[in-house]
Amino acid sequence: MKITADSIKPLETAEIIELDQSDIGQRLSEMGFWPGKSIQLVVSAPWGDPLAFKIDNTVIALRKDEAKHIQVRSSISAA
Amino acid sequence: MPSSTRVRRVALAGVPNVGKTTIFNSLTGLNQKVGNYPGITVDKKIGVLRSRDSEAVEILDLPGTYNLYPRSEDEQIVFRVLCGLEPRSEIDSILAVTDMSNLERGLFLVAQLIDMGYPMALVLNMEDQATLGGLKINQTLLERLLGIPVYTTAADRGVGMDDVKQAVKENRFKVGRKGIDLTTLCSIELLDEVASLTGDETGYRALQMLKFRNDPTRIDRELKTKLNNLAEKHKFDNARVQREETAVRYAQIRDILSKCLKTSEVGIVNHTRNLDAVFLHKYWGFAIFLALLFIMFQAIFTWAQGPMDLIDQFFAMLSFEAGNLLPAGALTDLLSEGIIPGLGGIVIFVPQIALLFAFLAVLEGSGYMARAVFITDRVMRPFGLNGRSVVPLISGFACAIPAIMATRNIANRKDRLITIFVTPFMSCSARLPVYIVLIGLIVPADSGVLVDGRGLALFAMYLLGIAAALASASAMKFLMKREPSGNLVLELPRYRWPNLKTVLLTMYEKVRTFVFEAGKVILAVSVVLWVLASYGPGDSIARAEESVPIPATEEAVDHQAYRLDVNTARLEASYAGIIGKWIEPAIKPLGYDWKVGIALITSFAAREVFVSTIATLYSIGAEEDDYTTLQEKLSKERNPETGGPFFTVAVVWSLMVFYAFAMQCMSTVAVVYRETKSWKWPVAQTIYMTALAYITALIVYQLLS
Repeated sequence: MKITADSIKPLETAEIIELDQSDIGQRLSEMGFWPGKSIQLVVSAPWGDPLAFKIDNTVIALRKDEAKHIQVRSSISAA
Repeated sequence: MPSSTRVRRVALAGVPNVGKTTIFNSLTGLNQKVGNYPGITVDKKIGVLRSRDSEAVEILDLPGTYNLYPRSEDEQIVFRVLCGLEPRSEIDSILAVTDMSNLERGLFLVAQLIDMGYPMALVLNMEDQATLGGLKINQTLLERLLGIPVYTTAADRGVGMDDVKQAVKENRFKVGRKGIDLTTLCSIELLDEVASLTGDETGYRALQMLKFRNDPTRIDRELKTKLNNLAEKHKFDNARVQREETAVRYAQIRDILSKCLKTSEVGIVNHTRNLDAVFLHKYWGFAIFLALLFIMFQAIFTWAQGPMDLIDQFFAMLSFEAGNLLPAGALTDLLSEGIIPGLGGIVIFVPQIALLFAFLAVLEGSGYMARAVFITDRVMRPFGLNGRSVVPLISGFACAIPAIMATRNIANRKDRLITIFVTPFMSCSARLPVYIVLIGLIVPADSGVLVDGRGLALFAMYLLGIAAALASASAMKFLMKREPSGNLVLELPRYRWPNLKTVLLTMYEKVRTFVFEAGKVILAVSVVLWVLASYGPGDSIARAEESVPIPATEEAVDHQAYRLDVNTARLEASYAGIIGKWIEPAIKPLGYDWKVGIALITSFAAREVFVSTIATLYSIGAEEDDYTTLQEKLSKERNPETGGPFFTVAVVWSLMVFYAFAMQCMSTVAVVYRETKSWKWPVAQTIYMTALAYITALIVYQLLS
């Protein structure tokens, strides 16, 4: 089953496997969302949407629909 | 393409949130101006770096973009400037800015810029933050790998800026090492063919031309067709090439950084995380956001009042003195009653605009604004708006003018247009005097249980405005469903102390833009309205004056009454009076007579003019702070057909609903024109709002009477 970034739990870290080929997927990859990198869900807004992810040294907020373009695999560590 | 005839020009480029604006301000100070790129709404910021010992250098601040790909207007502008397609924006070199803590992402754009072939220099900004985070960089090695000079700064505190200034002055830019092997992306023949069509110097520029071939402007149709034919022939796929370029570049950047970047884990306190725990908290986050908005809104309302009164008095005095000092005549009247009050009507907005943008610049500069967008995005989405629409909408409670100017932050065109379109429905402070006078007519002061009945009615009017804004936004969302909606993809930057210089420059810039751009339209319309209200066909005004009986005694009271009656007669006989009578059949179903008609016309200058016009029509000296005489007079007005009071509950509610919805504000029209760069939107908005006002006022009157 495909896991996408919108299903990451708060403070859980996951590894990016792939971004889909949509325009948003492409844009996210230019912003640093790149296979092999780990992302962490820092916080979600009230009503659980949008979601704020930490990647490298930045925090980037994505709507749930946008996070669906990022396919991930859960990593072991949870900081 | 350097030329000897113009000043040397340096483009300032970088991804958003790297402190580019601070660097721009630090280089140019007050020597900057905001212009337009022809045909679009992106601001063109140009500044000049002057010094005694060298020639002046122009700095062109490009919009912040993550890369070069034809996605947004911002990216198209950057592309056009870099390819020399933007008239009067040719550049000689590029100063690129990155956040030192986020080099991987920042260097992506830098690598693309290097491949465009311009002489460059790179600034690693926010060096203090990076060092705190345990980051060490081998600057010499980075310079060698990129082939361009590298500087480190903490521009917020001015650290390192002298070196950057010196480098710009002395033109210490170098053409960097080309990063990408274009043969991995597409065939060289294709690029050669493109280059022969466009005359591009580097293969990468030719590739950019190909990617941007359907850019709506600047590329003529013939070239567009040829480029599209070429792309088809070689099966050139924008998305595929962009994907492959992204992959190659990231691999290169990682390679470079692995050689010259050292990170060590340092146990530092993460302020941003701690602050976010509060500001983004499920309940507290909203409470803090609302509290901040409340303070901001209160400040615009109350702090601006003093300066606004002073401006008002100053222009009243100026107008009075001009009328006294200059020889009597039509020209003097035009100056003292048309032009000077018209200018006053522009300057009166300055305190509110300055205050709102001071607050917004602080919120933006501190990093809080992105958080406000984050927590409100979900709430606004069902209405076709997004988190960035919240602040403009709420600012609309004070005044739609600065609120509409604040929509600049909304990147997506559709979201921005919807926000601009519905903001004037928010109950602005100019509606307040109208509501207060009208509510006073139908709701007695001591009515209501527990709460004041008048307060309740006023509150209802505010809710009505919000409901109209949200409902109209939903309707617009439906009508514009073919245009792409914006995505959020929003960086939450580190919290910082806002930079005072940036705050002051933002205030100055916004005030200047308003006064000189929207101001022109406002002045023109206010002079036209003044002519309509002061002149009539032939000698009608003179005859109207004569028709008022001269008072029998010379007593002051009689003289005062006489003067007021003359004013009433003049207004009735003026063009505005004629139009008022002429539209009476149209507004009769709403319960209005021609007097209200005149007020509807004159208050297009600004809604609060309704009160002074009505005062003139009923021969009352308009005392702004005391509405009691006006209300007494209005409540005595009889309806000639029924014999009962004219201002019945039905008429008053109908009028209030009309003022809640109608676009009774030429300044808003002017500012919408300035912000959308076309007459299409302000005209559509005015028609829509007037139609909505008419229909709802009609329904209200018919139901209540």
